[in-house]
Amino acid sequence: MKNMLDIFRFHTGGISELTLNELLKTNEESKKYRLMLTAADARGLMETRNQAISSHGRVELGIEPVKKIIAAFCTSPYIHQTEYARTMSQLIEVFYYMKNETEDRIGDDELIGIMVEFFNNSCQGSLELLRDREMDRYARQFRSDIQARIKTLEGDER
Amino acid sequence: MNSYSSLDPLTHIRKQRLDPYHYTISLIQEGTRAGQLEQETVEEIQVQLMSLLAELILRYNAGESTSLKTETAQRILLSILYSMDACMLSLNGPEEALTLLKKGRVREIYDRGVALVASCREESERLYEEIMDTMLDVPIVAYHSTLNSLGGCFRSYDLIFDARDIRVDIDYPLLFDDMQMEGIFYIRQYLQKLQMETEFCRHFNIADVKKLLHNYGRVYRINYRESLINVFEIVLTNAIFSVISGSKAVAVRLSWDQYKLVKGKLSGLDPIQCRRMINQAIQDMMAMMGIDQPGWKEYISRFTPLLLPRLLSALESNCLDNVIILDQEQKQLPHMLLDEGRRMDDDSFRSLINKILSCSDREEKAAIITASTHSIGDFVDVLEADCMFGEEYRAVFSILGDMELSLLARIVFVDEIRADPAGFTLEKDVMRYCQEQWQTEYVGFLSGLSKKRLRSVDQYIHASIQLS
Repeated sequence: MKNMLDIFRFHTGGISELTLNELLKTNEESKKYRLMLTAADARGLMETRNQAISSHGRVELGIEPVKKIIAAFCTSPYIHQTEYARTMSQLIEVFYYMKNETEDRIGDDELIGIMVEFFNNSCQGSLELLRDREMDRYARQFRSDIQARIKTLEGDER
Repeated sequence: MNSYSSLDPLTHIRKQRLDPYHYTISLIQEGTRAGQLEQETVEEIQVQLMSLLAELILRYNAGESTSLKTETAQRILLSILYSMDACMLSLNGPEEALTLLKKGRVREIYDRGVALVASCREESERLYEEIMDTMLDVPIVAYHSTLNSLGGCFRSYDLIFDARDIRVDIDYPLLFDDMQMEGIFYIRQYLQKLQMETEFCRHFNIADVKKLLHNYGRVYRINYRESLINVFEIVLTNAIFSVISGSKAVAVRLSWDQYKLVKGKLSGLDPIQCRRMINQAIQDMMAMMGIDQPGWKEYISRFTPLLLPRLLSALESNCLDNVIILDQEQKQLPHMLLDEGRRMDDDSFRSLINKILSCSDREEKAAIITASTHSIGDFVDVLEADCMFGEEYRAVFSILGDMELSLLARIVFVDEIRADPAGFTLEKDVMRYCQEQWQTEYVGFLSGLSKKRLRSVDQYIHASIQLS
């Protein structure tokens, strides 16, 4: 019996009205920072989220990470209304990229916190620097540290 | 776990369509096909499965993440299905399993399955400990490396998130292994069978078993210590033939006489008769060894279809000693030693001829002549006594050494040697017309020898010419 899992299709999440409304609820907090998503923006974010999950070979149970990213980054002084939706889209893409690069060893909240830290400080709001310099460097160092820890543990066991 | 292979007349479920290795999925598919499961029910099962998967994904991530790599999620889903399969297969048939599914109790099925998987792990660990206490002291690398690897697999076995997979290196082959099974249930069946095989081999003297393995390596020209051979199969084969030889006790070391007896019993039998003989020998062997556990009897009885083709092929090619493994010392026949003098009296000679005539087995005739004649004169008299036919002559010639062959050559080729003593050689075309039947057979036998062997016989001929 090939591909038993066909009987259970993995949905990366259809874009239901319920989901869009949940995303739009984030406006209640973000509007304090003069940042608002339109319905089209929300739909666009969900499409990005679905695309990112699919392209990075992941399964996602819900939209919590998207809401958390919005909540964490809407306070950034480097994000303005004109590029709000686009920036959030790219941050979602970076988030799922980094989940793979850190081998699922970092929780969602912790990873988002690291991204905010770099974005607001060393990257000064540059998505390119965040993605192509800081997060890549962080991922390499993280994996190297893990390997070193594994080798130490193996040495101790012997 | 139960297995099913028959058509159930009471439902439309075709049991032969159910896959015991992916039972839940195949049951859902077959249930849907047979109209036993409504689409709504199937969707509800899917929803419950997804819910269970979501729960386990969160647990896997310790609640710190809601996403996972697809392959990891698939592994967890397969793990869920593995446990569900364990539960479903433990029920009294697919009908009961379907009833449970229809009730939408995916969680209950899963929980019961996890308990069964955990129980199987405990049982497997116990089996492993028992085998370690009684393991065979045989120098087979794969046997020991497999047992070592099995020792570590229980600790690392993840029955929640990766039940289908178990990290272990199993190199040692069983006689019959179900490779389609996975996870801890595979390990349990492997250990159960390994225990059976080990216990069987322990009935025999370990020195004999080691010697048998050594001889096996010699026959097949392999380094038996490094090879992936199954000790039980080799021991069982010889044990069966020891029973066929009529031995009162089951043994793994067979004598040359036992070998000849077995060969005699098997020659001329058709495949059906051979199979019957092997089956009877297996039954007798188990009775003699006191083997009465149904599992053992079933396992050993499965050996006949494996052994029979090898046996038939060996009988056809006259290489039964590739199947029945003999000691090197027992396999070597003593060459006849013929003396120019020392002839037997007439009565003894007549008695010998009668004995040869009353024997129908070729090998046995050769054995009788070997044992009874010591002079070239007596030997030639036996050859000329018309008490042998065709291939029987060849059987006798095949046990002669080069020196003895040269003595016969000097009789058969007396004219050629006299005409050109220095130039005579058996490597020339030696086919010639002979008056005596034995001489014709002898010439025919020589034509089948290698050039190297013929040169060796030549040397004896020339050496004796120089001496005379």
